[in-house]
Amino acid sequence: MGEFPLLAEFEKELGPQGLTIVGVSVDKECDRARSMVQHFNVNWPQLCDGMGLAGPIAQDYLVEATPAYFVIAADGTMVGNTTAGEGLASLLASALHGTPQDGAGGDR
Amino acid sequence: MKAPNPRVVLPVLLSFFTSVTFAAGGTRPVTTEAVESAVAAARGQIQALEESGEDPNVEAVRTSLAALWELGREQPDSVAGERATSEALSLLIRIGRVDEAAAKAAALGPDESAWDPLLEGLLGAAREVGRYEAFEKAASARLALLQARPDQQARLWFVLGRIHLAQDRRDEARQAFERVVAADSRAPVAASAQKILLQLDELAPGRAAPVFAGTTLSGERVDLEKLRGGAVLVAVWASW
Repeated sequence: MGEFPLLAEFEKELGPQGLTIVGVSVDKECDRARSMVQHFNVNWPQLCDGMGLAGPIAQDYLVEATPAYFVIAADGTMVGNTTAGEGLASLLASALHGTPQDGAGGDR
Repeated sequence: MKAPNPRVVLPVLLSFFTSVTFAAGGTRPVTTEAVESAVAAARGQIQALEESGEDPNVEAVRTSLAALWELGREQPDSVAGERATSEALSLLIRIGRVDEAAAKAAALGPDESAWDPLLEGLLGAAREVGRYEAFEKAASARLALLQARPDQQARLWFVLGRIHLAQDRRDEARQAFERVVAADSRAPVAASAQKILLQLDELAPGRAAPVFAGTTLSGERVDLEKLRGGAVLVAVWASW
């Protein structure tokens, strides 16, 4: 997947600030995911249950297409989601520094 | 990053039942064999061009697809005809002729049984290339024809909702799922739509993220709950 290098940058830069990346491959053949991960030298954890988009994580997070990114704050609450790597930097900044997001932390 | 894989999801099973359809037919039947060989020929042409890195939108391919479309028009209500129709449209999308596919789809009649396999084929092709316009146009055309069929409307709104989700258009997805329920609250998809609407609420910023745990490709344990105290980026991806 084309955005591994971008994620690797985030990992390098923001890992020391407390960011953990968890990869979730929705490949049905996890071996394909494994060789991709090796090819790109990805060192963050990678889950793959071989169930594709029908797997429990994809279902719980309403994933219909890849890539799909979800940013979670230190308290376990959702900061936001995006399908494009470009949107990630600001979400990650909010998650790490608590910058309030529009509409987040409301009274619902 | 790379050329799309030929991963079109198609209702191939349908073709097995074709022979039964023509038992009482008077006109020259469009046979499954004719359709399948036309499909295989067109796919072969496209694949060869794709594999050599060339644009498959060339005259020879367009001619093959036009012939396939005509096979579908000859007997639109037969299973073989439906297959020809939906394949022709899917392959048009695959070679990048999205608008032509959408226009052809919109011209189908209200009761044509080609609609279901067609929409399924369009959806498969759309997912393959990540372009959903043709499906959305075809689905909208279909919806306009379905005023008297709320159950079918509900099904179509449901698929449209998922298409919006695939493109991360959550507000539009929400509206589509709400229309599923409004069209026919007793339709089988209405319960699924309700569930997705709840999930959309639960996935909103500020709500607790769904927890998960599992064993990684390298055999370690990951538990989202144990990562509390630090920010987490969940990156869902696929190798295709």
